[in-house]
Amino acid sequence: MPETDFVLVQDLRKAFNGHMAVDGVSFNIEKGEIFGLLGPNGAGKTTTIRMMATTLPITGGDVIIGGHSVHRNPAEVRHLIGVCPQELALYLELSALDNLVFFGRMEGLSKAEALEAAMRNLELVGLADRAKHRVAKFSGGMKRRVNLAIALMNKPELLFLDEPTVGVDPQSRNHIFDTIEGLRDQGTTILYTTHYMEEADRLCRRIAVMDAGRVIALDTPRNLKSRLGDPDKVTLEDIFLDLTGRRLRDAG
Amino acid sequence: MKSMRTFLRQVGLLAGKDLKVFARDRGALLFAFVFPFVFVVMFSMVMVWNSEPEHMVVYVATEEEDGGLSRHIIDAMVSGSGEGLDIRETDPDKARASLVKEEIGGYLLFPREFSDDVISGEQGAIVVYFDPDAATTRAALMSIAQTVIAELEAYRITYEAVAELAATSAPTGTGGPAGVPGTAAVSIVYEEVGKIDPPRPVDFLVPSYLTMFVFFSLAMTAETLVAEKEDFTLERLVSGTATRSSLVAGKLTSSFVRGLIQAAVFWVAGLLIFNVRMGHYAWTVVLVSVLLALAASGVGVFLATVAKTRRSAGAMAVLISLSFAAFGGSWWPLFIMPVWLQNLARITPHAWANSAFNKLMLFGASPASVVPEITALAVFAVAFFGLAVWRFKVN
Repeated sequence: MPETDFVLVQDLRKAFNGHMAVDGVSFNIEKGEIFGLLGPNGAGKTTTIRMMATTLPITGGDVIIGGHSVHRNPAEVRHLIGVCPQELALYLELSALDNLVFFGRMEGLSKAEALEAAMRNLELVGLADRAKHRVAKFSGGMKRRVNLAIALMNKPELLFLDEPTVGVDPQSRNHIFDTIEGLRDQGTTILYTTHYMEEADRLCRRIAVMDAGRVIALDTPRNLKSRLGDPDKVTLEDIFLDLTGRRLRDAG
Repeated sequence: MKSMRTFLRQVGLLAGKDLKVFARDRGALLFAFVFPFVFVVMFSMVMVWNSEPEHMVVYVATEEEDGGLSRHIIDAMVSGSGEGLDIRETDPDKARASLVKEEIGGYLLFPREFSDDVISGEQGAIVVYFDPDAATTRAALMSIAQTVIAELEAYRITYEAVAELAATSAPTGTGGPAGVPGTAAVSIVYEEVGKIDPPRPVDFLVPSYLTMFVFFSLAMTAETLVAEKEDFTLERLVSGTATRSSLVAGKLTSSFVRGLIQAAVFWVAGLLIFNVRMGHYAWTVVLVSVLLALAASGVGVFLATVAKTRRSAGAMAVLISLSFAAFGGSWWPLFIMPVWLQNLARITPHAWANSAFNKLMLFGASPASVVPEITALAVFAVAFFGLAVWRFKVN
């Protein structure tokens, strides 16, 4: 594993009732890189992330994060990662601050440390002035930002962002982009999944396109686009449709 | 040591979070702490108009010759009875004739072989004859009989232990503690059948609704736990440093603490507002409440491991809570149900809890006479805790 690689995914496989949801996926992510994982519904992106984040047992292969195997040493891996799931994993009855402090303390922070980290992260996502408001009263975009702020509580070295901008307004989306770019500049490694191609184009240094549980293309956005012609004229959506086809995908 | 500290810390944080969420849910608070008392007030008004007279007469008879153990017990019972409960001795034939003519609601009969059975260590029996329509009289007779048997059994165990100790420590050739049985047994029984106040509706309603609502709200833990799975907060916790054991222990702890708070509110309100009488042994009533909360917490988490969705978890919790409440003596006294149904009801924690509350609060029973109920509730708690821990999965 080269020194610059922070994540190494090796022949990763996951079977559900005999069906291979993830079938021999391999890629690496360099330290401080934003790496995009794209694919149609049911391609295996979320399953891959769940295995990498230690919440789903691996059928075969392995993932090495910061030198630790997800398969053999999940506890060490958990100290290095932060997960911002696609779903809003929040306690709606609690305030934004209470949510962050709770998850921070569960990660081992003292009360004072958790409070300090919570206020810093709420500031980062532009919600410091709403810290004590109940999350239930927040807009969709604000909830997404709280969702992201929670994932930052343990200062993760690797951050999983699974469709973090679904259903948010342009203002919230831009704020989330700025936050992600700021984290990258501080050296955080990020694995990013999205269905919005322009997001991937803007944020990701490299992109892996998955379909039917396999990686079918992996390169920089520009190199991927140049497969179809002039990269300044071809969009990432064009290459995505070319790689994965135009038929409808309804799988979850 | 460090991992145990981390475990306890996480359990405390998870329980604290759950209690905070509960405290901010007005609907849940209303359901747990206000709604039950609306029921108590409503049904106590209904039951006041239908309750039996406050002065209760209980008849006892013996077939034994003078000098038997039952003679001493009856003398002690009759001289110990007072205002509210009047215990009178009668002749067996006369008692039976009065019962047939429906002049009395029932009576206790000590059979001819009672003393021989008790002293020889055989299973002694006290026969309870009753009119099925005289529910309160029947309950009082059953409670008195159970108390007498429980105390005799406790005495027998003590006596055997003393005898064994004496036999092992006494020099060869000396006898055991002969002659101890008779008078000591009677004195213990006398204490237990002392003053029993006539039953009042609130003394039944407060504990029975406590049983129903504590169980109900803790069973609903199932819905909140499944909701955590559906909302992915559980997965978020697992992707951090929370372990399966700390998650299940945290849920059980928060549920149990919530049950304790609910029970405490019930008893404080019961004492201050409804002037409930907790019997001669309030600590036993509290112990039964604690065990009920433990058992119900286990049921709640166990249901969450069975349910696939929060809707099915909620439906299961409601269905089980309501049917157990009706079946287990929370809607009407267990002792007015047919005996076979009372026995069948023992499959529910409600029946054991209500039986203990009724014995202690309505009939002045001692802790010894509710040992079966306490043991059964402890078994329910251990069994459901075990099932919950065993079946709890986070993926």
